[in-house]
Amino acid sequence: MRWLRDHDPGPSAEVTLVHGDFRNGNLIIGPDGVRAVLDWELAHLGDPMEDLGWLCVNSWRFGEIDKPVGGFGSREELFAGYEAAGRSVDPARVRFWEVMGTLRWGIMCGGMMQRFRLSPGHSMERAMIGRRASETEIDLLRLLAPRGS
Amino acid sequence: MQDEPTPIELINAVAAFLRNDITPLISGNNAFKLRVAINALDLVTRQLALEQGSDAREVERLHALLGMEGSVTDLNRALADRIAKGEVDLATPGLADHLWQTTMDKLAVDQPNYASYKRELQRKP
Repeated sequence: MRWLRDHDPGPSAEVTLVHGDFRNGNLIIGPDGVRAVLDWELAHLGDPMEDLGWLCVNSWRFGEIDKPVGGFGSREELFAGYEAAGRSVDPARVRFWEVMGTLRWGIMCGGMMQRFRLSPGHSMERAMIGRRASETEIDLLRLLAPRGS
Repeated sequence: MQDEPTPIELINAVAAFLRNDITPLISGNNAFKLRVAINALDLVTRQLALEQGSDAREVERLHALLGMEGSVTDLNRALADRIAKGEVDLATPGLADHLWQTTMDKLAVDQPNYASYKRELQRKP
């Protein structure tokens, strides 16, 4: 939270529709490409870089940690595709939103634990998601305090 | 003092029964939930085995970093408070190492198969 406050890039010059949960799990893909984008309940107006950062959060790489975009692509490819569509990328803002997104998922894991506490009878899965907050802690350290190779 | 088997041995026996004897019998959503249940038992076993040692080392590090005594909860609260106030940060000697060690100890219990954790385990600290 300190890092986010210290690195707040300020209001975006451009405000667009932001999906809010743009990642593999919310895409339907066919042989012809993207067929549908699901789950728009977190959509809002904001910084378009937020969706690019969230897509790079390590939790959505499903183990393919060297392919930052959803476990299947590089940032360079993502940015090139985005710019080919006529838009521009601000990599520093994308990084800010990746850190924010990683923290956000960790806090959501903590929220699962609290919901489990309120109704423990039928939410073993929520209880176990609560124990995944530490995954986002190691990912935040890898982003903010990386160790030498 | 309680008799044996120990809690770890009992949990391992239950987890082995679920894994070996029950898993083949069920399918669908209940099979998924059974995997979650077995994962939970394995997590508890790891915590019972590792928590005392890792908590003691965490208290030692926090004691050295903060120059104060207290429970692991109190010391963590004090550290969080100092970070929030800007009194310490990643440039503070020992803090990044402490956060890394603490986080690695958490992952060893929570998710030892998490890819980032396995990658970091390969590094020389």
